[in-house]
Amino acid sequence: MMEIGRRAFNQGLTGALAAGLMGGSVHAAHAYTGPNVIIVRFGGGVRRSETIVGKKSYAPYMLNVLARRGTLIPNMTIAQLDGVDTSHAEGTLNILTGRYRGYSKVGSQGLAPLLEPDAPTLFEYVRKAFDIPAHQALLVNGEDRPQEEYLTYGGHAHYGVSYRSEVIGLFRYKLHKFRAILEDNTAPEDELAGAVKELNALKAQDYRGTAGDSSPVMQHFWDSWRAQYGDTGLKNPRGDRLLTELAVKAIRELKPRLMMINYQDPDYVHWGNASHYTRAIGIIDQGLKRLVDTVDLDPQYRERTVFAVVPDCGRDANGLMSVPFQHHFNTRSSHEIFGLFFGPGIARGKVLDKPVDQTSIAATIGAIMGFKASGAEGRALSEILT
Amino acid sequence: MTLTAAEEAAPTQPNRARGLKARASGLFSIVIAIALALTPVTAVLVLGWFMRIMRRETALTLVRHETPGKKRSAALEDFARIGELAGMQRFPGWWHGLMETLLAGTRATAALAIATLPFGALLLLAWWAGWENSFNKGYEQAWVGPLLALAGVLVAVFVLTHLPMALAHHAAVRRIGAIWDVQLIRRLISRVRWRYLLFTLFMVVASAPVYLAQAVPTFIESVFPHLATAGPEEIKRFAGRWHLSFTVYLVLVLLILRRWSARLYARAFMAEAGQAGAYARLVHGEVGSPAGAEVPKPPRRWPGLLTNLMTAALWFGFIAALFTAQFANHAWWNWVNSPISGLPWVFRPY
Repeated sequence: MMEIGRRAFNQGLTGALAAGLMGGSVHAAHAYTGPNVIIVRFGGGVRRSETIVGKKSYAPYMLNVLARRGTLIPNMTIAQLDGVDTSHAEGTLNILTGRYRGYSKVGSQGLAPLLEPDAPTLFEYVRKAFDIPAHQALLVNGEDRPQEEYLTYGGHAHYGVSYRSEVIGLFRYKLHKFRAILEDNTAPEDELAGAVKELNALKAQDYRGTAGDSSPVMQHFWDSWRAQYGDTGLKNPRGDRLLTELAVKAIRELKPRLMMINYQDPDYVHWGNASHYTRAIGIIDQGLKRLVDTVDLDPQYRERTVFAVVPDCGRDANGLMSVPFQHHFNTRSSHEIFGLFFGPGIARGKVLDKPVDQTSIAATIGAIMGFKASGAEGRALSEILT
Repeated sequence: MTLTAAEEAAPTQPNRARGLKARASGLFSIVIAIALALTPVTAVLVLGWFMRIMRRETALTLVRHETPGKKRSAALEDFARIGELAGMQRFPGWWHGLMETLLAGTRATAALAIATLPFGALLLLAWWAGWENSFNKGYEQAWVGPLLALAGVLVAVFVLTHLPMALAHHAAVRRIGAIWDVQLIRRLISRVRWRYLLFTLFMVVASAPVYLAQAVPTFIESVFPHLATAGPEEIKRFAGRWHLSFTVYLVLVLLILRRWSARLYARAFMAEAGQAGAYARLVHGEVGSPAGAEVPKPPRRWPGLLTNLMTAALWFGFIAALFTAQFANHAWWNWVNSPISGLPWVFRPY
């Protein structure tokens, strides 16, 4: 079993394990030998009461099985600061950069803001510190929020687009599919014209210009997906089950060292059906089980993988509403989340029962992987170690 | 003061004492109406009370217009001499005529259900089907929700465009089926089209606080920060005060709107059927001009089309506000009842 150990953790805090941290090129970086890390964004927005509170929880596997394998942080919060919004892209960037308000709004698509991180993300830190290709620093994203595909790199002078992660999701698959149809050029004319139209529409959503041609590894990944599920989009798993399927396929084929899975379906509760919320929590819980089972069966991952489970934001607990689960209005409950770490080197069956900031996730993961998330405001949580 | 019940006191009393007693009595009736409007079951009685008020207002308007310049008090005294109207001389209270109020409320609830439940059910199912499908990524049935919503909005706009006049007609003739006298209702609207348009504008604007009552709780902690740390009992007390405040508003604004719509109805009826003996003919179902009387000219068509479209646009705004409020704070009941146009009860989920 790979153990992180306090010494390695402390070295990670200073970045001593990484090479070329300041100004070095990606080619000069060391091979990565530390633990794999899988961040599960328990999104989009969940309350403690339906996830980590005893009999009320709709995530029994996480609470009753995984929490015993690691350290539960029931009092994690998003700080109440001016300009801190409790929403999905914002929460994702809090996790990835370790900073509040570490982003700029560069536009909007419909009601969704388009954000760009101002600080380096975990993907950039790890890829700059170690020789890890983009497809092994992965973001798994859902189809409802394509704008979150572009949260993978910031505008920091020493990091940036060269160190961004690869993204997998239906948006990327569709780009691949339409490009393949056009390259193949054997489809009927109307289908080809349709493919051109669809491809242009997809490209128009790419507000950071990073959804260009994919690497041969990713092309192979999508080719095999296409061979399995076809072009209709009606045969592959849907919603958050799709994210689990993509993540499992990635573990088997791409062997990511750092992967973040952006679950999001609890957010459907906005529209008034409370069962969508509880059902979606259950689906994420089952997704966690499948991920853990996959990791436990894979020699490259078994006992070499640390999981970090954290919501992007909480939700309201508003006694004046029949469905009290919004999250956009800065209520106390929407700032209240939780964290769960488990894997080698993480204390088992422990409850870290003190206030912890969401921004501590990045610093902690940096320390676990052996790099210093220098832009992070939060502290690394050494208490979670064995 | 919304009541003009001052005229109703016994003529033997001095004017001042009569007025004070009538006002106190009217105020007491309103307080009871507010209390009854706090629950959906007792709100049926409040609806019946409004129907009685509307019927009386229609009669009063018709009688006054038979003799131009006649004061309300004089017209009310005339009621005693007209057999059909004798019972309406006094402003509807709660102790006398409770059974009549209950019957009127039950009839109106049934009539409103027939008129509004179809589109309410369509909108409710559209919302449910649309998000259910979206959650399950059911691309194959993606059309169901939007199609139901489109149908619901179209039916809603059509029904709501006619509903205030239809409800006034229903209140006057006391027949459940009166709400479906579509041809007559359309003719009546065309007789007072600009006034009806103005009335619709006020009705839609008056619905805004009711929608706010639904939407504002979503960000209530921003408005009342102490609620962030309030316990369940304090929340419950706050919720009670919140509900009562908007119920007070609802009853008062409906007192204005319902009587206004009744006066519009009376005016339209006279324009359609002629002046003489209008009320007597109305209660006997003789809608139209008496034999041998000069038939009033039908209104011109194009201005009618224009005002109908504008009225429909206002009701579309009303439905758009409903969707917005539902986005902020969803409650299934609010698809099937609007307190401003239907059962006078503000939904309380807590």
